[in-house]
Amino acid sequence: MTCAIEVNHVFFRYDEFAMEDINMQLHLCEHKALVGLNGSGKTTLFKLMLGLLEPDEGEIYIFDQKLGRENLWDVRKDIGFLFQNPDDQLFAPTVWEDVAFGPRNLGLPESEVGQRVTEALDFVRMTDLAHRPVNQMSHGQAKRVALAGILAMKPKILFLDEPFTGLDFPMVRSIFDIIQRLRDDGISVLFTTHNRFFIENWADSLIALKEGRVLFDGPTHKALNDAEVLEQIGDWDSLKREMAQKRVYDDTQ
Amino acid sequence: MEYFLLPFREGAGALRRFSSAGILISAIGVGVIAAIQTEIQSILTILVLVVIGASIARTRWRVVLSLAGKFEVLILFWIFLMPFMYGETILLSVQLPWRSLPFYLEGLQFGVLIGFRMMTMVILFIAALSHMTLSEFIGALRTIRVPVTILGSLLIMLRYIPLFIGERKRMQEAQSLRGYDYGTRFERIKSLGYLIGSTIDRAFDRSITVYEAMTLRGFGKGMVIQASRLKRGDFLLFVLLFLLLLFTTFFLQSLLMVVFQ
Repeated sequence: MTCAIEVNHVFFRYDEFAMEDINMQLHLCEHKALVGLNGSGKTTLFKLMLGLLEPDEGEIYIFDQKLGRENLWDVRKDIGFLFQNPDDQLFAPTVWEDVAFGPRNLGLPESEVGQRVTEALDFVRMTDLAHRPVNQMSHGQAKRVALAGILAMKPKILFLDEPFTGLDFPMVRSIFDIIQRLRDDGISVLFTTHNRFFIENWADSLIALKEGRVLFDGPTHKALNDAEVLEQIGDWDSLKREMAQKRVYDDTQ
Repeated sequence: MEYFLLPFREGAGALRRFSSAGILISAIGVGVIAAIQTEIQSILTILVLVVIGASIARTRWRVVLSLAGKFEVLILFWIFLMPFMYGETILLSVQLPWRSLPFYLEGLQFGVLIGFRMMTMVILFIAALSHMTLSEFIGALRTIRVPVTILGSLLIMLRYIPLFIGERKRMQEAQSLRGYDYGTRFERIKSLGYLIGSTIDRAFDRSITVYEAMTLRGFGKGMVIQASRLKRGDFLLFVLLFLLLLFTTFFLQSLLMVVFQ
């Protein structure tokens, strides 16, 4: 399989935190989960792959192109990053303007910018709100607009930082539907989550980080049988059992 | 998130008859004409003309006046400051423990003149802005050659200030829920100190994240801001502006003399 991203022996140190000997691959069309407890280095790994941070050692390849200062913009055109909080991402006055920001920076003619914005808003089903101010939307709507802003740049790889946090079920469903359609379009996805449901039902493979090191990188079904990986995802079953025991009021008894 | 600092007509779509640049240039023109008037009656005449014109254009007066009302303190400050600063004819003296403070007639007249000028400008510009969206306003500023770097900063400031106001309000609510008493003035000032500190701290963190988000979408080679194009209808605005200039220069003084004699 061709690699969309290849991380080779990357080392990075920042204050007390260190990432050591990170190796991973994201293949074309693959949807991969990046898991780990808070502070395990998930966001740092994202930033390293986006060129926002520079590794102390090691190499990162995006579509066989080595990531470096000289080709940052060329490489970034291929990657879209959805922030956990859409307020960090949306800054233009209206939805339309915000989605148009990326295509305009690509230097596209205004007619093509318009076409891309229309397509992206249609893809996330937000066409009706095109002229709404970005500060007058719900969290779920803002998330979809943020995704449209990325899709308008036609990326080949998507990084999603906890895409379902703070969303109600209909909105989760709507985002999940968008992501499934991205799979049909052949876009590779690397996403972080603490939710076992999404790992089991969405991820083709999984990479688990622990204290800045790769603990596991492989298919999801194998990861879910690994006790150490489960510890990073969270042992939800034992928590469920403990909570059930502590329950005072239970009308089934 | 209902906070918005300016009266932009968001969601209403593009302007039809006039361009945002045309409206802004005309408003600046009227503002300059108002600023050079030396008689209160002349300024009031211009204000009346502005109100009539804006009413014909179906200005949302409720929005405009509620925003203009926020400038009340600033306007009153000048009206009450000037009489203590300048003049010859003493109207009254305020006795202070260490000296007496004269209140001059000429200063009062000048203060009132400044106050009326400011009020006219505030109403004029808020009314003009209420007919365009924020994007159209930014486009209009670009048309009058305001540098892109300033516009980019302005755009981001107008987006994030309401967000910080919202954050401050949530923090205040959180403090109240944990029993914080805003009863005394001292408590309010103390709480404001905490709030401003943490808002600045959060603003700093967020500015880094926003910059990263913008960089990832190609920011860094300069922001792309579309200028607003002038429309044929703008010609009418410029003709009216020219007529106002002629009227105030040649006819207004004579008219006022006839009316007030």
